Amino acid sequence: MQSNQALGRTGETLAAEYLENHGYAVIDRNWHCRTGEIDIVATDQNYLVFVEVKTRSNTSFGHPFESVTTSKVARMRRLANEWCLAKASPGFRIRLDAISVLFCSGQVKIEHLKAIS
Amino acid sequence: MALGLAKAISMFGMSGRVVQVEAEVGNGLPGFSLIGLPDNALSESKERVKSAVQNIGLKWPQRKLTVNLSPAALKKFGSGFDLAIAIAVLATGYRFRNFSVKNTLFIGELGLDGKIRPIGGVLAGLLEAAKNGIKRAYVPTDNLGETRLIDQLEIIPVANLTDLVEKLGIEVKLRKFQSADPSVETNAIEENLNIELAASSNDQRYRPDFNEVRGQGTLIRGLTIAAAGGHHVLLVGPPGSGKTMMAQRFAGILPKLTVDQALESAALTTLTGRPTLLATPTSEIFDPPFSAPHHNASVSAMVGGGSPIPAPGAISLAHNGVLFLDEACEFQIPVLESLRQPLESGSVSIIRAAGVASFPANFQLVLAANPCPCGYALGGLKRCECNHAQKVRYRSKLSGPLLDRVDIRLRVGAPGSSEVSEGSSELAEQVIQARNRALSRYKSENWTHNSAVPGQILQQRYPIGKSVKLLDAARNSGKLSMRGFERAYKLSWTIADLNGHDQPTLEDVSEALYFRGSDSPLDPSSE
Repeated sequence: MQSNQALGRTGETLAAEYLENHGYAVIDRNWHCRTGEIDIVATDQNYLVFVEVKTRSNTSFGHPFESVTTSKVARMRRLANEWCLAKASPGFRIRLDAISVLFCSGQVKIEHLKAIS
Repeated sequence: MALGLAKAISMFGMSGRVVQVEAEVGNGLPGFSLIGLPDNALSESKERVKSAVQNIGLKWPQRKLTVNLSPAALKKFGSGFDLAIAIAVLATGYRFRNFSVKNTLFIGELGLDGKIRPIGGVLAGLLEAAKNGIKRAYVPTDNLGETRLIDQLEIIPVANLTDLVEKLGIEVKLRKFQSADPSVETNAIEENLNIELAASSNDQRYRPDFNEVRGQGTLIRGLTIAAAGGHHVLLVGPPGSGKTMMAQRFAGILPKLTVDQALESAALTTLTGRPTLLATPTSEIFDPPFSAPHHNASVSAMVGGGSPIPAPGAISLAHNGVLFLDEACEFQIPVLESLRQPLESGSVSIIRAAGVASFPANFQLVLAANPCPCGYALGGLKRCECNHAQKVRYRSKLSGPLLDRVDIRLRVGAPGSSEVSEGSSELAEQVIQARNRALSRYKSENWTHNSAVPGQILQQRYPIGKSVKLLDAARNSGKLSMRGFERAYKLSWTIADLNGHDQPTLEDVSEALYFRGSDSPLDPSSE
């Protein structure tokens, strides 16, 4: 269990770096509330982007994106709403993204899906 | 965004429409939606196709996948779309070297391991596809038998999905196909696709033959006339007099089917959903079909039916052949009456919520009946024990309109002598001679036998000369109705053809009147 959490942490850090490299500004990470947790909040021009990061060390349980179900997307939407209430962010448009981080045979493969809802 | 296309065929009855399967990989979370009015079996295709693709070692797109079956408003049924869906999806991510979407068709069901399974109606589907400009079709190896019958398009048998994508020239190296079922042969595909498309004469199978019948000369003569002119027949007689025996031999003296007719009949058979029925077609497919439904048959079993896609019934399985109703008076009245319209039009339309399915049903009707419930009203080994009301009720099963369409009514009695009849092959030769005479007479038209010629036209263009006075006399004395007159007219020509006369003689016409018989053939008081 510990190693899975560590893997998730590493994945999130890699995802944040990936976003920074692609011109995003990461403004929040691992933000909690009663509903759950948002992995990364970043801005992309006038978009406020909420990112769910999924990390896997192999695909024997399926592709990372396959575990982002519609109910998880619905929860992300509620979380985004609560984040905005807590940290007022006028003038931005909201977007939900997903990033998959796949460690396979010593390589890291990052895929980024935009506007998943 | 990536798009993939492939073609499949959607059948409804005997008519088919080519369906374009479009697969689109969009930028969304992984998911698979199949749209375009699929039924349940087709909706489940999603799971089969995905498992099959992954199990042969190819990548399934991890994005939002939408597969559309166009035309979207047409309802689609069954599992035959699996192959086209798989290829459309694979085409979004892989390149195929030898695949032209435009005139290539895919038919087949996928197993989870990638095996390609046979489906029903492939022959009917391919015939329709050929009409719609399809040039090449990939079909399950197990359906190969029936597809050997057609040459309008190139048929490529495929045993499994690996085999298929390799034949399409996929640009990745694949491992050897491993079936989940060890009994499945994975690579044994017989490449011999040629079948002798002609009735072979050295066919050794046993067929019932008229030379096994003794002393029923008149009856056999009647059946020969029926075969020569395409006339419907009624056989009435006591139990055990050989009605069934005769009817079974009747199909044997009909001319062999032409290639087109054999194809049509085979296509109808495949639509009953028995894909292995024609696994190894032999010259048997040129035998006129013989369909003998039991008398408990429902209307749907007789004319065709079923949901959601209507399947052909007994009358369509008898298309180009014989429909034999043994114990005709035991059938339910609606079943018998349902025959009237197909008898006239030669086809039947079955109307369902999803559409109208038309099946050809150009059959020759042979009815066998007892004259009453006990069977001995016309004589025989016992005395009849039925009372008048019982007899009337029994006779009324065969309605006037139905009997009117039956040109030859024969009473079957005990064998008159022990003389052995001519063999079926000699009789068949006489039938062919007679049909050729009729054909050369009607060469400017497309009537193949006398009963197909409209009565008025026959009387105007092909008068029977002075001998007609015999028919006139029968009509004037009330023995023949107007329709009866017309039918006897056709019979006269058929008999003339059989006897090699250029015009019906007095003897031919009197023979016709004899075989036309009475309008209430089950009634012992009418002679």
